[in-house]
Amino acid sequence: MRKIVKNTILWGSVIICLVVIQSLLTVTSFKLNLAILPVFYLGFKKGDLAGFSSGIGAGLLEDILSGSIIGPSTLSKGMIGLFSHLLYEKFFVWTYLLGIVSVFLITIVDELIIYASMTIFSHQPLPFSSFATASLIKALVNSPFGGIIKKDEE
Amino acid sequence: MLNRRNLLAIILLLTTLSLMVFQSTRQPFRPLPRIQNSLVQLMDLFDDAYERVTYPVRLYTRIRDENVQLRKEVARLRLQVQRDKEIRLENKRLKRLLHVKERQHSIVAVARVISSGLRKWPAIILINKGKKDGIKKDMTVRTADGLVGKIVEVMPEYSRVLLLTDPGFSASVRIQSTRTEAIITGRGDGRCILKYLPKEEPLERGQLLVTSGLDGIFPKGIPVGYIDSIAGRDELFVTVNVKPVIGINRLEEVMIIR
Repeated sequence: MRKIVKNTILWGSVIICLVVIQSLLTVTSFKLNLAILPVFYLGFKKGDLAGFSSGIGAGLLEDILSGSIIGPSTLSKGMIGLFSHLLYEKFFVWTYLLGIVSVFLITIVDELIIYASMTIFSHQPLPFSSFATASLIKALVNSPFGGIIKKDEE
Repeated sequence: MLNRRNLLAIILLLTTLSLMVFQSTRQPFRPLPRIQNSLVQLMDLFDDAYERVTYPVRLYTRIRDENVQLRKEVARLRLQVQRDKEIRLENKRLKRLLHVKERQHSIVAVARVISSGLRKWPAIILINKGKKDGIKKDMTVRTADGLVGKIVEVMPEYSRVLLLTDPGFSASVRIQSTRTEAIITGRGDGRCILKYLPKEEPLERGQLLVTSGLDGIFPKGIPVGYIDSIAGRDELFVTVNVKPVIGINRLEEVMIIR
């Protein structure tokens, strides 16, 4: 029980810090998407429930801070957290390259869900070409993180 | 039979979708203002720390560049002051004759930009002045150069500003030289679009747009942007790309005016 509380506080703080930091940093005038990294990590390593709850937390935090509608980030990060463990189950051999590609694709999927939700339920936030560039940069920044995630030895 | 993962996915999907549908027909939820305020305070702390670390490096280059620019500016302004003094006196005399009341926009507060938004879209910035400082929704936000946007949300100590580059923003403007009226709205990529401009309007690149005051939100005469290029035409109107007067990525301090 104590371990669960400790982990919740630790990962909660990590997620809050990353959400706040990503709102302050820009790379070539685009904001980063760092909060997806702990969500993916927790989902991948600790299972779907951990990924799901961290995804909901990070997404809700992003939605509240974004000043727009509540829901897009919660949906995308919740889903990613929930289904990240599938990669753990489906791939018998986990390589560095697979990790990098996974994080790259997951960042793109996260951005795509947020963009689609905003476009459908609020207004198209920016032209698709600008969105594609921004997502690509965010995914490239995040992808090296995939290289350091390892599967636990059986 | 549904497994746990699929069940959670369905619950999440239904909950968030119904939340978003509800908000799309009404206003976005603003849950727990105290939590929001604490998060923004945390953001402010990080921002302060980041500023302190990078300040000495930025200060040196900024001072050097500023010095050169300011010397040029001082020389230019000296000349302009002499000219403006004459014009101002003449203007006052004429206004007195016409019994026109001089209307000045009063500054409610000068605020610091804390964050330039979480995702850059919607184009919203956070400023460190809120309800306690007399800020109200829909107040105009500007810099000395021109229009920045309007207040869309007020918290006790902070406010959110919708930038003029957001597609959700619109304002009534005039081309300063020809006085033709049109509507400006954001494009979402750091630029704006001028709509409903008559097709036969003579346009030149670099023409200045100023607020017309006809929308009842923004005071008259605030510089908004420069005409850049033609984006499209239809039978009646022409749509024009506009470059904002202010540098969205360089916003540091803003004024909130009534």
